[in-house]
Amino acid sequence: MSDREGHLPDETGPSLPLSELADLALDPDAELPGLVQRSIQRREFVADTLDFSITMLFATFWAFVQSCFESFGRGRNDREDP
Amino acid sequence: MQDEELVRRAVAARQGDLRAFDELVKRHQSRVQTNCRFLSGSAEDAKDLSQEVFVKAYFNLKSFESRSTFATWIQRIKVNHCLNHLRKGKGKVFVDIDDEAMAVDESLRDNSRADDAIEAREARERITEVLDRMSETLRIPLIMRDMDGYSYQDIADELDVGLSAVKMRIARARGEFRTMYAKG
Repeated sequence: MSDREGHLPDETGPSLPLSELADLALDPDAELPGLVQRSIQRREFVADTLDFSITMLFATFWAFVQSCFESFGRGRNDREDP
Repeated sequence: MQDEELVRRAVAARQGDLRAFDELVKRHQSRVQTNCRFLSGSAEDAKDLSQEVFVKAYFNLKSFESRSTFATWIQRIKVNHCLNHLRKGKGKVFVDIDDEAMAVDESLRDNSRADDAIEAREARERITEVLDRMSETLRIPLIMRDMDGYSYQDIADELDVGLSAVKMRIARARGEFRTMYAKG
């Protein structure tokens, strides 16, 4: 991508680079920055929601495991101390 | 303010603060849109592609290293994204009747032709017409070379064709472009 200035030897005559293309720029679309912003915000929202959902799922699972251990421990204590 | 400074600010910004990135979009959108327009061959696709290129760039900003300029970095993303789009077969190669760049503003046409802005616009329209008439096989390497400044080797690698084929296609494309452009 670096040899624009140093054209290759065969880029002469009819095969000379097209200067019309090097400077070509169409009118910018005024809507584009807004569309990009909304798209980014939407994706961030989806990512945050997913992140929150996964965290909640793990928290619920962990609470369930803890309660299982607690009830198991309580049952054993009850058998040992009648 | 330099692009690299804006990138640094965009990365450091709190989530939701898109001011720095917004400025980068405004600076580079014309070039990105123009490239997407001519690589895809469709004004309709170009809008979606440009949007996706900037969104992709935003979520990869942390991987941007200042070894190259932001313009070069986003150019890579843009070319890869457009080529992937074409490879997936989603690209439709046709001339859009509603294409803004193609539509001739009659009020401008009636006014003084000496106006530079009008002349530039007409030249852009002619270039657009010529490029739209070219086959994808010739247009894509030509755009990559003469608009994006890619080396022949990079084009060959990206398009997965031989170096001599790329050189031949570009030479043919330039000749074809000049002939059609001269005919008007």
